[in-house]
Amino acid sequence: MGVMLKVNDLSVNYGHVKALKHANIEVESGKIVSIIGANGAGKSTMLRAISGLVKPATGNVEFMGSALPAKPSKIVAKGVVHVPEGRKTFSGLTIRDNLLVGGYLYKGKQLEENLEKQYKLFPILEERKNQFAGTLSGGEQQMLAVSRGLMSNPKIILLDEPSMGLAPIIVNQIYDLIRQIRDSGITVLLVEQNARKALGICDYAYVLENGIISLQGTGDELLRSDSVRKAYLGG
Amino acid sequence: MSIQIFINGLATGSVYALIATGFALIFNVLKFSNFSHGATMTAAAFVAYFLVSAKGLGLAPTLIIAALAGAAISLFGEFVGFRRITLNHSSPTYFFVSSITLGTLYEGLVTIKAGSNFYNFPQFFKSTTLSIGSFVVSTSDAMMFIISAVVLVILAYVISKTRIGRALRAVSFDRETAQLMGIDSTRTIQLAFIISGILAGVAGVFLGVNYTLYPSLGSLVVKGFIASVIGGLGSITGAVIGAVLLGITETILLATLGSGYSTIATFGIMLLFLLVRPQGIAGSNIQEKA
Repeated sequence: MGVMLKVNDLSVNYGHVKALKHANIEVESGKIVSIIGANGAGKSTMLRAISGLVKPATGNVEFMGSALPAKPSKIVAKGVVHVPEGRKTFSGLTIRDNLLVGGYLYKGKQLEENLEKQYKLFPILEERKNQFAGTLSGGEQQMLAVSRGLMSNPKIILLDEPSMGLAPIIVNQIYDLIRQIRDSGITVLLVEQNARKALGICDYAYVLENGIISLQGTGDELLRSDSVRKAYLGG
Repeated sequence: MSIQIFINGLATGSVYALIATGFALIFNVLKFSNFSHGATMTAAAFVAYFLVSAKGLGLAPTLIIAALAGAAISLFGEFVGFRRITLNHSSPTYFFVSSITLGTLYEGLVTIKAGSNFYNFPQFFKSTTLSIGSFVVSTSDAMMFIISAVVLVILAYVISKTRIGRALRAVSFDRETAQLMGIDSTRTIQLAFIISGILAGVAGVFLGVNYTLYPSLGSLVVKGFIASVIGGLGSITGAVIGAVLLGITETILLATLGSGYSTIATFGIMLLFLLVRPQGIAGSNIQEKA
């Protein structure tokens, strides 16, 4: 299928703090690729650099063979959608409006079709479409955040800690959803602290440590790796 | 209380509502109080006065030119005064200083051009009063109320039902996340300034019609402030409710206490709100569950 997204020599600095140091990753089309690592390792920064929220100090991001534009809004239009850490639903907008904002790049009939598609995928969102997003539970908000991301018909979706703060049973639902998204033909780049879950689902994974890619391999390889087991899976 | 006073208050309140909503739009999107709003109103009203009304053209062209001028001035302010500090995520102090500086600049320019004289808009209507049944209403009051109401209804529709309105609300809530939806935040902020400028221009003309036109007319923006505080800062609906309440209260006080005490009383009401219910009437944000 080929490489869809390629991160080349990417560095990001926040003032004097070097959050990401010359990182390289590749995401193959149609796969789930995970990035695991501790808090502050640079995982979110990687996604923020890909979606244009932070400007890299070195390197670039290639998507389907050409460099991504600089503006976040233009990057979305290319089909790269970032579902941010902490869900970030628009709590004072209704669920329907949240989804419509997610599909901002579409108008009229196409927008309605996208909305129907999401309602079919997440019946609970249709049931509560006129409620404010802030009234949803954490798991439901995560569903909404993902669904809102899907509203713009992405080719690749970047998920930042989708399991954060959720009960195990809800985490399983979210992971089923991630598989479903991949099976529908959308490539997934998944960032997680929950290493066991992320390695269990992914086709390929990278370990990020202090802004440097320290290890990479298939999910199984990393699950068996001693250093990963010690550092991220509790021995 | 006579119905006349009530209708008068409603007209005053609807103009305050234009000011307060223009103010609230910018507060929502950039989280600062735009102190240049008042001078924008004055400058736009003066542009319309010199270009249109002084030449004997009617109310409609005056309002249109004032709205365009307001939008242009507001857009200029956004670019010169707020663009860089927005992109740099600067502290609110910069916005405060920048907006006060812009306001002083506009007022200064108007004073140079117009002197500290008072200008009267020409009589826009043949008859100064209208009879509705047994009531006699001032034509300019009726016209201010109707036009303001129409403008506010259009604004409410745009914000709640349209694609750009949703973008505006999304950017107001969370600029960064809105960008992840494909929304160009700079364009959306510009749009907020354009709408705010249009509201300022229309309000400026109405204030000029009501009180005559003079360079420091913009200080009446304080009524918009009070209305916003009463209604709940940042809430558009609250701003309208606050403005109408303020307009009616003020007119009643004016009729009973006279002009000196009524001005003091309106400030007293604002202070009371800050003391007892600082979030205002509508300012109850939805709590996130998770």
